[in-house]
Amino acid sequence: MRGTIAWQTDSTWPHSVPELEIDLDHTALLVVDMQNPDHYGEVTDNCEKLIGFFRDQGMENIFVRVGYFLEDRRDMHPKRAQAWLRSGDGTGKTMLKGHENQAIIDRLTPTGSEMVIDKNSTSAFNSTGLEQYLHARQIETLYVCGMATNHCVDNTARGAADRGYNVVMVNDACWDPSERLHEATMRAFRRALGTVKDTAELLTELHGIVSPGATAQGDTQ
Amino acid sequence: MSITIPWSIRREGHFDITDLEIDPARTGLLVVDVQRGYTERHLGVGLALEAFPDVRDYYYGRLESVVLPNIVRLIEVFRRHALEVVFTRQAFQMQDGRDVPAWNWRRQQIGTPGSPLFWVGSAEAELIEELAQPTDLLVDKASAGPFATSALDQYLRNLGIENVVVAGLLTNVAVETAARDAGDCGYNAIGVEDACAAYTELEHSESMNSASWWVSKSTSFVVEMLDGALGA
Repeated sequence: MRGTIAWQTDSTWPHSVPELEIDLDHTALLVVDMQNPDHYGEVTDNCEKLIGFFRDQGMENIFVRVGYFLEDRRDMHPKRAQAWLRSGDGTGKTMLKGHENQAIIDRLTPTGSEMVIDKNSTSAFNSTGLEQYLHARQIETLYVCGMATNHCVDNTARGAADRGYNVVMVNDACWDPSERLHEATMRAFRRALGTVKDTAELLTELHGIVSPGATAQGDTQ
Repeated sequence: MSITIPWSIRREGHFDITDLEIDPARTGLLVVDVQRGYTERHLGVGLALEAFPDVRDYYYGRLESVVLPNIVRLIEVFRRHALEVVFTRQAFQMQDGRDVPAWNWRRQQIGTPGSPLFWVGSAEAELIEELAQPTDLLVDKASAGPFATSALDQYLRNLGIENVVVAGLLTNVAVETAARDAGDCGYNAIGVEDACAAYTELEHSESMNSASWWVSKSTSFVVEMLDGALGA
């Protein structure tokens, strides 16, 4: 099902492209690193809404998890292995694959037929078979949410844009400890690499493609 | 031989590394998209920036007074120590651009004045003659970052490069993507703060602040690091 979405609508910026046609049959949601424990507040709520919508529409949800595969962490590059502290509290909390901290947070748990991909790098394209999976599923457009915005989300989304995917960053479904760096990521995407939308905005836009005849009354039922 | 350099990656307590041991002889310079379409005021993106005089004046002003002289300095020191200088270009191979990712680029921008995308045979794709030598590796790409649409990762490993010094254009787009991917792939990636430019000061500075697995250093730091370790 094809439809047109608003794209880079800032006419005060060079190289802006106002709209883009996408095909919902070739569109997926990519949920990046939303793992235990859940302290992401409204961002988790928005991820849940997005996952629910994509699931209801029969569209693809793909979950990416960060962690490492060997107890001594030597499967990561050396700087990462040395410095990797998940919580930032100095405890070096384990993110070993299989540990509860490496699991997707409960509210967002994937179904048995949703893809979960484990990475031990920042970008999901640098240590996994994600690209092969997207190719196999003929995905062209990716909505991206998760944490942390300026780190794994940004690297993964840049990797997707570079590989030709249409990338929509979901502003209020991405979390970063730094509001400033969150904004830096969104600024670059909005202007140069893809587009940025809030959850409600994109759900309205996608509802309009899925049910073009629906009116606002439908929302009140 | 190895030396220890200050290496600071800080994200509010995450990922602290205060120094890093590197082998300076395994350092390569990656000059990103320093090509006529991005450097000449009346070519390439310059045509689009005519409608954005604030951006144009900031960008070309910084480029001409700060960035290009520092890139010249960097290239000089790398050549003096017989270290690799690798160039990337924004350059697609097919004249109608159908080898470029489809999103906003191919459909809407190729063929329009001021497009940031250039055919390999165009003047906009040409490197600055004084900077590149025929013996330098040149990598063409059809994406912002060079790793996704080229074999750069393999080439860097073939060249024996472990430390990647990244300079060029634009800071928060091609340069940052290159540095992020290099760092994520395990290279010791250094973005050179005063050898890069973006369209605005804010974009440039936020990009340099947002280092994930790469760090920001100055041209002088890189020059002194190499001269100090390898002999001036």
